[in-house]
Amino acid sequence: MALFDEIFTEIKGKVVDLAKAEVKDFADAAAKETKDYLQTSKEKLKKWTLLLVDKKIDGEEFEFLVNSQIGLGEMKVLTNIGIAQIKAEKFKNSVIHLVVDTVLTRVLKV
Amino acid sequence: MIKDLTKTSSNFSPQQYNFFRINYFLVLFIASVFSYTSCKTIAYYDDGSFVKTAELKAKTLVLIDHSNEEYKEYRTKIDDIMILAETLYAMQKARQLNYLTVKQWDILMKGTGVGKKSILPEFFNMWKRKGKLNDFFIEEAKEQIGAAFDEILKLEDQKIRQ
Repeated sequence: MALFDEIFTEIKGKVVDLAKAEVKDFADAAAKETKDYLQTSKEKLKKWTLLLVDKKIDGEEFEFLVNSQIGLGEMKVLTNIGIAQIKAEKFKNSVIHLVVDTVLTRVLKV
Repeated sequence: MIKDLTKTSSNFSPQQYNFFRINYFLVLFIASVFSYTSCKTIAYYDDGSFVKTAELKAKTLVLIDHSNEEYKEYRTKIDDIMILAETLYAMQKARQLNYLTVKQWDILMKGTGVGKKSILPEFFNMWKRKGKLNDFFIEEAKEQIGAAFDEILKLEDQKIRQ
């Protein structure tokens, strides 16, 4: 039982470190990307409105551009959901390797 | 019967008993690891999809540069682009656990959300309706369409290689 407790403590420490690194990086990147998207959307909308007012583009073209920007936002959300799932899978695989390596190293020493 | 088994197990030395116990534990442990790893949530990376999507993006952007010219002159090239796009869209639908990429293609090819208008076919439809497009619009639309392809490529590139 003492061996199991030692292994468990060792694994727990390594998994927590791994999770902190992985989750923090992803959360920071996703937050930055969302902020950039909102800022870019604001600038684009301003530019397209000016083009419309100056009659350089018509209403239909303006609508296309706004619609594509909304679509782009949805696509970015889907990309981020996908990357989160991929990160979760990579994290799961890293945990499995970590647990297997730790257990085999410790048990085979006995 | 129970008595016999107890008698049999007591024939092992403590070292032998410990050896069997550890091996039993290892087999159980490895079996659980393998069953856990089989629970996938998203498709693997597909090189064919990535390369073909990048090719479609490049061809589309080159064609968009000509949209200030008469639509009739480019109808065959537009048809070729749309065939490639529809083929890739169908390929994505056929891949297992690929629903996020399919949703991105839905936005590009069919449109979702408020406007319910597509991005790629709608651009070519507008070109067809107007005969030719103006340079201010082309510049903006090209950036939007390129960025839409980039999202599809970004997600594909992040997927786990088999």
